[in-house]
Amino acid sequence: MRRHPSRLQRVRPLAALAALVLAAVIPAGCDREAADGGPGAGGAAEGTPRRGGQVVIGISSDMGGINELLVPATVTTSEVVRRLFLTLGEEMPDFRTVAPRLAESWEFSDDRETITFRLRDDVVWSDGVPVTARDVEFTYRAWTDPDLAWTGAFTVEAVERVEVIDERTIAFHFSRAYASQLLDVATGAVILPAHAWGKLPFSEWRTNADWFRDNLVVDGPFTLASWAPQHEIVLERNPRYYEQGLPYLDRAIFRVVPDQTSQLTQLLNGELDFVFQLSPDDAARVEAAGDVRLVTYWGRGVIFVGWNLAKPAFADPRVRRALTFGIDRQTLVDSVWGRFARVIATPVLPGMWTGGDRFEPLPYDPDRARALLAEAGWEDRDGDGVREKDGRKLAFELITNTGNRQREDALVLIQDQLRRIGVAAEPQALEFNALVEKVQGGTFDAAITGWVIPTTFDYRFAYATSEIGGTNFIGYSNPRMDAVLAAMREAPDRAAMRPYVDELREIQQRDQPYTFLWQSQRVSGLRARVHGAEPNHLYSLFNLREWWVEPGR
Amino acid sequence: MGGAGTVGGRGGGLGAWLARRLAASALLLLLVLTLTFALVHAAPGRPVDQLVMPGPGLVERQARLERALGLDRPLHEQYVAWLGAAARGDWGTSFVQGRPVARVIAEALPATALLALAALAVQYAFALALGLWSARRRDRLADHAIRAVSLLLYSIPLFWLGLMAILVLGLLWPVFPAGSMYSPGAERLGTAARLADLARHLALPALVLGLGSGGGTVRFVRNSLLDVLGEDFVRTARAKGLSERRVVGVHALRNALSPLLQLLGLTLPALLNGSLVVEVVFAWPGLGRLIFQAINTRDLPVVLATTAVGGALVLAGNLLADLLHAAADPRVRRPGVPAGA
Repeated sequence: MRRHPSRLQRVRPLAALAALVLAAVIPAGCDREAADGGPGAGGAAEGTPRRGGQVVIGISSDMGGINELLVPATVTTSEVVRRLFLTLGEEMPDFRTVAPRLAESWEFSDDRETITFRLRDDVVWSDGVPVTARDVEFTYRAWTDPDLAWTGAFTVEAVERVEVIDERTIAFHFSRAYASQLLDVATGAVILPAHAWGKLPFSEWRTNADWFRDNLVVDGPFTLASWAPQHEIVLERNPRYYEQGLPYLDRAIFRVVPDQTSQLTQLLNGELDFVFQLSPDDAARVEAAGDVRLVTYWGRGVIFVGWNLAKPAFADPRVRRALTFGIDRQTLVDSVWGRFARVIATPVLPGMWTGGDRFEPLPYDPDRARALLAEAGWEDRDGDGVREKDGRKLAFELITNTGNRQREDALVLIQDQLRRIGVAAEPQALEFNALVEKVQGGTFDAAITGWVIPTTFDYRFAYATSEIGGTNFIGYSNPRMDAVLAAMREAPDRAAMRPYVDELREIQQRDQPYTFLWQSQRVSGLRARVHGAEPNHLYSLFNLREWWVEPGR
Repeated sequence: MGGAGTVGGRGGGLGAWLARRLAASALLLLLVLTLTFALVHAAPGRPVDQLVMPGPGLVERQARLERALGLDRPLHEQYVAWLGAAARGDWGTSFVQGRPVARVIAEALPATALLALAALAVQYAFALALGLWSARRRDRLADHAIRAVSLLLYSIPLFWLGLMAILVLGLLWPVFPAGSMYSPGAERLGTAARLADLARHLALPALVLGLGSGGGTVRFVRNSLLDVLGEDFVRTARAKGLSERRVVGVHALRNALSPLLQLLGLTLPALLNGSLVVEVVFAWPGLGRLIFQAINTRDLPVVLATTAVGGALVLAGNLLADLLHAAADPRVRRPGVPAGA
């Protein structure tokens, strides 16, 4: 859940935005209809799934560890851990469904303050010990243990206690009902083996990451066959996995290939079968190669300009609207992403919510931008091409991080576009850590950066007064917005949430504290011999257990 | 570090000299570590920026983790604590991996050692062969060609050379794997097949690192040979009627070897630097990759420990250079005789 199943960035080992990237979570609404996750899904159109064989997957950095409570949630860590361990439910990519996994069903109490999970009776750990409610209870204790200090503990802070009703039944009691409570407990983190890992006191977890590997038992579709740090992770079919006949693959091998060009080369020459993220520039080359397929799907990564609202010029919403009107976002997308991105208006992404037609991105309209700036008192009186007001020029530094070509290109294009409306933006690309320091310290003017939008409809990270100095690094504070955010969080279902989602978007459109630039696709590369792969915005290896390969090799 | 010329000059035996050198090396290492500690803390960005899951209450949760890791203490306190622990052999726990730093490094070291040794062999075999040939064909076409090639190799950035090698020998004409240390599933092969698989994977990175570092060495060998070829004993050897092959290949080369051995020790830092780039390009799971990642993630205990290991290796290389020089050149060992004359 607030893990980072997808990341915007490609180059950085520990992923893109660290502090600024928010990750995914659960859809609101808590619809409970099960999605079809049965064997063979997605494979039918491509022939009959075949058992056996292996795929080799390129990763840009090694996994941090197999205990996800102890290590930063990188793409690799999340992808691997979720193939080894089960969660109670599995979030589906439609932004509304949670499918049964370890729990075969669950129900809410009438006041929605209790969720009772009924566990399957046929799931066992890889040493043969059954998975029971005791494991769930143990996991909850791990989540909330102060010595263990899981950095994601805030996601379950509304859980007051868990109650083991019998070996297969467990209840989560909440202090209050809220929209994403099912996602938080059922899909947020994996269930851990009490009988194996309970032997090590929580206080010693943080400094003994190797212990978990030495005492590893799993209940997911794959087991960990070997792990050579910085080099290779080998997963093997778990013979005790509960879904009959799955996974199809004998082995899934992850190989660490930090350099993106090397990843592309290895995909083309057959050393790799799957690459998470290709540069859009390489897409044509991959498409031209006969035995490799381009797989594209919308991620939840969005890129925007954040205006530091503590700067007098940006404190005026008219100026911010003018800047948005003055940035030709469609041209930006066309030139830096081609067909692999789209302009968006707000952080409520297309597909997350239906009926958002009236929230089109503000158009590119330099005349309107000029008029708004003039209305706000910014005029070019000395004829140097830059507007000024009270003796101060409308000039600022526009920063982003190095190592991301799209952002660096956007920096320069925006400078050029803003010059045409009399605004001087001085582009500067900083090393990632330096960018984070400037942005979090509030010592910036404007920054191009990004988020991965959570699926929980919890937008406090972007707009809440309480998050100023943290993720709300621009310093946006609006009492009405705070009320809207709280109402969204507490809405029991989507219908109840609807007016607040609309209002959030209205406020964003009107206030423009952020100028949203684009949402990009994930552009993955897959060898044609691999079938059944259905990567999505939650996990690229979402249904790895259903991947299968043609004979040969 | 100082040259080998001081070995005999100050009197005292090799033991005393070695003790002095070791003490100086230790002091220098301490200086390097202190500087590194200051630099990593002065660099922008905090470890907790990437360790804490983003979400509500981020600032407070980051502060809590900083307290837990002791990063909120005054810098000098942190430094003394770290140095004390390191002196006792405790390198701490990686922030990112939650594992003992010593183990993390121990896992990465063999891959880098193997790559460096192989690259060293490539570098010196290449340099000796071309340097010899070039010196013997002085000012002829071969000499000019070799000098041009070696200058080119010397000037090309390693990562570019690496990418070109991957493109040509890994993709267009795929004789070698484009990266990694083993083929998938190699652990199930027999010992001989595994070694062959390792050798195939080692070929490209070792060639790139070796040739990339070898450009300068070729010229060094050539010039050092030419110096020696002008000396009296060479003329004597020729006058005795020895074959040219024997004159150059044995008599001259042996005498030209001494500075080359010294260069060997000094090559170590260059190889370590180079392996950082080569390991990233070729997905080679070594120390260079570890350092690269630790710096990006601000994994301070790993950055400090890898710097210590790297620094120690460089200093050891210098020491080795002097020792080899002393071994190869009797004048260095004998007190009272000016060395390197």
